[in-house]
Amino acid sequence: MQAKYDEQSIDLLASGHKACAGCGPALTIQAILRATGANVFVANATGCMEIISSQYPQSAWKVPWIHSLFENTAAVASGIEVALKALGRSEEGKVVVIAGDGGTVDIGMQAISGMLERGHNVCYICYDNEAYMNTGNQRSGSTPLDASTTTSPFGKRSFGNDRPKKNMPAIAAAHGISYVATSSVGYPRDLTKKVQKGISVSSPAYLQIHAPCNIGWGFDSAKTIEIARLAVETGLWMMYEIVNGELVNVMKVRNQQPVEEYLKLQKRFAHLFKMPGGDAQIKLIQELANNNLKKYTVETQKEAGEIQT
Amino acid sequence: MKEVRIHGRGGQGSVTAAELLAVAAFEDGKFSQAFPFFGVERRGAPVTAFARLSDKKIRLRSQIYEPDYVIVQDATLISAVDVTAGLKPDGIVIVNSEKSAEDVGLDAGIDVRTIDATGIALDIIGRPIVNTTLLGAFAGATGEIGIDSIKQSILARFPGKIGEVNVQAAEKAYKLMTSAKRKPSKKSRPRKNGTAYESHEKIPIGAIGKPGTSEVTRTGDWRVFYPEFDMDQCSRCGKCLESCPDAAIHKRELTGREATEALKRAEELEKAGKIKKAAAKKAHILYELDPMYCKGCGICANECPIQGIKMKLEEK
Ligand SMILES: Cc1ncc(C[n+]2csc(CCOP(=O)(O)OP(=O)(O)O)c2C)c(N)n1
Ligand code: SF4
Ligand code: SF4
Ligand code: SF4
Ligand SMILES: [Mg+2]
Repeated sequence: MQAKYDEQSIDLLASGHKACAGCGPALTIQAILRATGANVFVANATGCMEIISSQYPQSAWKVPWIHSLFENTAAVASGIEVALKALGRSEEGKVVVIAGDGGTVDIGMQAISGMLERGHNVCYICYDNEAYMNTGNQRSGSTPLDASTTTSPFGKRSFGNDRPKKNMPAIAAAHGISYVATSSVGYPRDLTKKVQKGISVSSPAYLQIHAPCNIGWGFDSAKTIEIARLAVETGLWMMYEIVNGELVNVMKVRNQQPVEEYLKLQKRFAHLFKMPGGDAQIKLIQELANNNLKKYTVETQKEAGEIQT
Repeated sequence: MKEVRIHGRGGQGSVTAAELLAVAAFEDGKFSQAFPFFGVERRGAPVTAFARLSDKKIRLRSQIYEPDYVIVQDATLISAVDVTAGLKPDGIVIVNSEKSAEDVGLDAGIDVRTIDATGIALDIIGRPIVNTTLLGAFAGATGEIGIDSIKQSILARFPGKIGEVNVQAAEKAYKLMTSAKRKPSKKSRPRKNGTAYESHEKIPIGAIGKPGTSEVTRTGDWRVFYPEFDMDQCSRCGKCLESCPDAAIHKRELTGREATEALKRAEELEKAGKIKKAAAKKAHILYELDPMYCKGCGICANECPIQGIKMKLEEK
């Protein structure tokens, strides 16, 4: 499918929302809605994107939108989907979930699993800012190794978060759904294409979009897109699709950047450059990146076949 | 008991200011409290923090609705927020502004003290962090707290060089304030009440019916820098527009005579070797900033492939 840009519908998330200046997730939503157009029903989990867009009595949404609890967005979306079916209104639009990483990889997991298992026609999109940002930067299962957060602070006996990111796309794919993809707010064309694929299948689809948060990660608000690109160029964030269970279309990293280039711009990793033993940790992170590139590129270089729906 | 309300923007250290004030009050042998308003507190967005100072134990735990003193960390808040709501008749409002008290846009009859805290902070601390400077001004203007206690409170929180420069800034503001004369005010300010409903049945349900109503919030006033577009050089790639989280850049196509004129002018610039062909050919297309909503994040400037967008300091 040809990625198409509809600049007219640019403000389906209206100006005046309360996201911090330079917010990666808010930019992600702009891009998602630009790709879907107006015919969507959005179920939105509690989190930054819900809080900044729906301060009563205002709403930034120009598409049908519902706020769910932190933990049950997939269940709410499932309900909307079957209700539309029962009413014979499915043609009116696609049901789309927009949820944070905490709401997805942690507390929302069982509702998602149920939704994927039951085969609802819902496109689930997680914007991954790698922590619970709305409540002030607590670690989630999606927080990367060694990131310092309020609940995984660095200190004498800690380099920060001691676990690597949970592989949520693989968990989603393990449900046997036909479309899983990762993308990044640093690559709007890629993001558009994948969102459009995700809404075109008539069974569940799962997308995870890397979306830097300048407040939680600690970087200059102008660098949101630059940092998102660096995550991909270093091999720390992989962009691929899993179509009918097969890993395909892995974005090639032609000129791999050292992970320091990514880490040094962010306060959440600043301790690695100052603490004794920090350099060994940076090496570990470099290995994670190298392994990513090896794992995803060796298996693949395949082109996607037709998505079975 | 004296109640202080601090208005600032997220990231300006309003909550820290309230806490420093409360600790300083301890130093003075008083009872005190400090707490933030719980709400959406994004960087740049209006925020509120509160402090209570008293000779007796403080049992009250509510927000402050009728303050004795108000500190305004950013004068642009005056048009966005009712900073004097509920102010007591002899209350004092301390505003960070280089303007005179008459010119900051508050009603005559309110005892307003202005101080160029941004200037002082830039001068002494080297960064526009005004919260400690304004605490010095508070001590000077109100006499509620000794400047030495303010100093101790600042040093306890920020040890070393940072603490010292903050203390110097506070002292300078203190001196400027104590030398200014006080004008008593007479009017008390109407308190901002929540909407009262006659019965629970009349309370609207928690649904927001109208789409896109966030546009009433003009987030443009969060901005410190604004992007300036070089439309002569612009290659019309659209990257800036797709990079803006706030939908604050719009594409506009000129038509008719306007378009012809723009294209003609660009052709001449191209002939003179001043702009590239790609720019000249699309000179009738404009990318325009919506200053009402641009938060000044700088992403568009960072992403423009021809470096045609420059971030400029906003005049306030
Ligand atoms: C059951 C429950 N626990 C805790 C909360 C408080 N809470 C609100 S948003 C949030 C974090 C959301 O994190 P994430 O899903 O990553 O979204 P982000 O804020 O980062 O955009 C938490 C813990 C809640 N609303 N419900
Ligand atoms: S905290 Fe981060 S994710 Fe949340 S609104 Fe601010 S920039 Fe966006
Ligand atoms: S500075 Fe940020 S908010 Fe302003 S127009 Fe550029 S991208 Fe949009
Ligand atoms: S990014 Fe730069 S060159 Fe591209 S349209 Fe915007 S101002 Fe013009
Ligand atoms: Mg998150």
